This record gives sequence, structure tokens and C-alpha cells, in this order.
Amino acid sequence: MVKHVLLLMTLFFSLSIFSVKGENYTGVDYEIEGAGVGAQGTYLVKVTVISKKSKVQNAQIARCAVHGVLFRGFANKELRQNQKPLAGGPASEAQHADFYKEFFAENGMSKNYVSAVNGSQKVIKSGKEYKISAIVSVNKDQLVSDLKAAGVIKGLNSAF
Amino acid sequence: MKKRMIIAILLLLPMVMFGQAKKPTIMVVPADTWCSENGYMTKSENQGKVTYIPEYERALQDHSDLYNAITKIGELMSENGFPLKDLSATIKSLNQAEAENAMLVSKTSGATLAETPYEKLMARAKADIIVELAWKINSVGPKNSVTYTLRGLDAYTNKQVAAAQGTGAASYSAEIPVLIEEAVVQNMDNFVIQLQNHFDDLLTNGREIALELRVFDNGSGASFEDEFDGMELTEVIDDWIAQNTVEHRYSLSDATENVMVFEQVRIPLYRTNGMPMDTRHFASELRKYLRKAPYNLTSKLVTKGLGKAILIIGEK
Repeated sequence: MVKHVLLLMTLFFSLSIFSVKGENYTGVDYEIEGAGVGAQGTYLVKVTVISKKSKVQNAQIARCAVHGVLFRGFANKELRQNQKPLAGGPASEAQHADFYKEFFAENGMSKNYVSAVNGSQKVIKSGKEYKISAIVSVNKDQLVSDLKAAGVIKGLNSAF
Repeated sequence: MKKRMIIAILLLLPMVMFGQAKKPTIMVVPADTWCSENGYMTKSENQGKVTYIPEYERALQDHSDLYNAITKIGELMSENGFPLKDLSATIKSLNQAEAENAMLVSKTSGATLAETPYEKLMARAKADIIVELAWKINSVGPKNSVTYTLRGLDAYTNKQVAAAQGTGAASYSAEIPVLIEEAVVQNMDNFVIQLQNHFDDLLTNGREIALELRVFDNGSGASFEDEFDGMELTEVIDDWIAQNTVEHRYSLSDATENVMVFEQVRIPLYRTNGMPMDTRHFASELRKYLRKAPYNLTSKLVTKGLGKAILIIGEK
């Protein structure tokens, strides 16, 4: 009986860990910061994916960049940047969970709004994990416009 | 079946056509601090009291950086689906209208257009949300940076509804106009997010307006202390406002025998028939209520843009 309870507890524990990691639909842990002023209509951001593998697909970095721009915002003290999340906080992410789950899926649309800056990818080993960083440009004007069209974020005009 | 569909469409059509809240106008103007620092203020003296008035027209004609910054903000707001009311075009149009109106006379009697001093005073560049723009160039040796401020003020409640402020990264090589443009582009999204939050609040909690009630000094002796069925007029009006605001949200900040000032009055965006509600209509409903028995009060209604109404009791 005790064995069964322990087994169940272990199962629940592992499930809860995975659900926290997968909560942001990108499936990985990542950090985002500003990387300077991009061309008009774009954001230049540095995304660092923390992974157990030393290689991460560009599409994964792209998904993290879009997710960060939409739900986390980014800052850079040195470059005096501070950008709020374009789609609001986690509440907004949860409100349109069905849409974002598909949007951030491997074959979803999210990666289409990002272009990588050539030669910017770096890999640093930190303990048992790797920190894979890259500077990417996010086409935020198109991203916002498409999400407005899909009805998941509001435009200034939508109330009037 | 087809007939029923057509009737249903015809019934729904007016709701779709008219069932939209009135869109506030937004205009960007240089902030008073910017006008003062750049020498675009006129000194005016009235009975010993000195006031400084910003000279928007001269600033726009002389300062190309200002013109460019306002144009850039307008471009970015248009991309967000919210075109701005242009300050330069508004000033030109006001000047043109003033010149034309001065020349307009009737064919039969040669009468000019009627205009009260109050109407003359109100004919100025105005918008529902005034966005104040200011920047300052900081130079340390060969390095330049821009401190930039953008502040959106609800023109009638005087509340700051959105703002973006910050100092950009210092640069050795970038020219000043480029630094200003960068500052505009970099700060615009945060400003728009706050403006969006303000509009969301309007949708949820109703539009915020200010309502002022006054009494004409016409010798009739009418005041807000007059009693009707044992209730003072102040209480009657207070009750009406409470019953007609969203979740009874309002604040009576001043109530004397001659003045009642209501602030943070949250009016619904739509009337019961689905048509948009505005300040004038809301105040007009109160005017009609006071016109009926047992009050039988005549009153004059004056509105200031979308956000403020003054109801003057006593006569038209």
C-alpha cells in the first residue's frame, strides 16, 4: 500500500514539474533581453535557451523570442531598454490557451516572425546545462497585426 | 423563412451601424517645458498676473525636429489603427475658418455670424486626449543622448492615462534627429500598451466624465438648497447621478448652494437602445429630468468635448 502511495506521489511530482516547464508552450527554459534598436517594426533581442543538449534548433530559439516578446517583455540596463510584453501577462496567455498552444507548436506560425542575426549564436556550458544564446530580429508589427486579426489581442481601434 | 431573415438583418443593421462608442480624438502637442526651454512661450499679463502661453504655430514652423517627431508619432499611431488629429493642420484650419467666418454675411440684411465670447474662446485646437511631447539633448564630451517624455492626458478629467519616459543609449556618431527618432520608435509600444489599458478600462467601467452644475444669477433666487417634497435639489441630483452611472461610480467633490461638481462620473458607453452614449446625452437626460414636475427647472447645457458638461440651472 505504502509502495503504491509513493509511486503515485512520484508520478504526480514528475507531472507537476513537466507542466510548469511546458506552461509557456515553448517547452524549454529561456531568458530574453534587449539587444539594441532594430529596424522600424522589429525588435532586436537576445534569447538564451537553457538546455541539457549543446544544440538547439533555430526554430526553438525563434519560438522563445516570440513568446518572450508577447508575454515577458525584455530589458537591457546597459542599452537603457525596457519593453513591456505586447500581449499582456500570463493571464492573457491562459485566456487564449488553445490558440497559443497551436501557435507555438513545432509546425505553428510563431517561428515565421523571426530572423536570426548571422554569427550571433553562442554556446556556454554552465554546470550540467548549456546556455545557447542568439540575437534575433522579431517582426513585431506583423506579429501584432496577425494576432489582432486572429482576435487574441486587442487593437486601439477595437473598442470604437 | 427568407422574409424572416431579411427582417432580422434589417433589425440588426442599425445596431451594427450605430452600436459603436464614440472614438476619442488624440493630438500630440509640444509640452510646456519643451516650449519654455526652446523659447516658444508668449508672456501675457492680465491684471498684474503673468501667464505664459505656448506658441505651437511658431514652434512647428521653426523647429523641424519637433515637426518630424510629431509626424513619426502620427505614423506609428496610424499603424496601430488610430490616426491622430494633426496639430499643424488643426491650427491652419482654425485660422482659415476664422478668416472665412469674418467675411461671411447674409445676403438680405448683411448680418455677420453670431458668436458669443464663450464660443470664440472655445474655438481653439483641442482633443480628448492631449499627448505632450518633450525631449532634451544630453551632451557629455562627444557623446549625445536623448531624454524623452511622452505623456497622454485626458483633457477633461486631467488624468494621465499613458506615458513613456526614458533616456536612450549615448552615441558618438548618431545625429540628433536620428536619436530623437530612435527615442520615439523605442518608446511608442509601451505608450500604446498603456493607452490600450485605458481604453479597456473604458469598456469595462464606462467612460469617465466630469459634470458641473451651476445656477444663473438672474435674480430668481434658485439654488441647490431649494426643497422638493422634503428633499434638497442637491440630494435629488445626487440620487439621479447614482442611479444612472455604471455601478454607481462617481464622486461629488463640491456641493454648495450655487455649484455642484461631480468628478469621476462613469457613464455607460451605450444607451438602452444600443446607440452610443456621450457626455452631452447623459447631461441632457438630467436636464430633461429636472424639466419635469415637481422640479420644473429650465437649464442650459454646455459641453466641452467628449468629457465635460456644464448644466446651468435657471434659464437657457
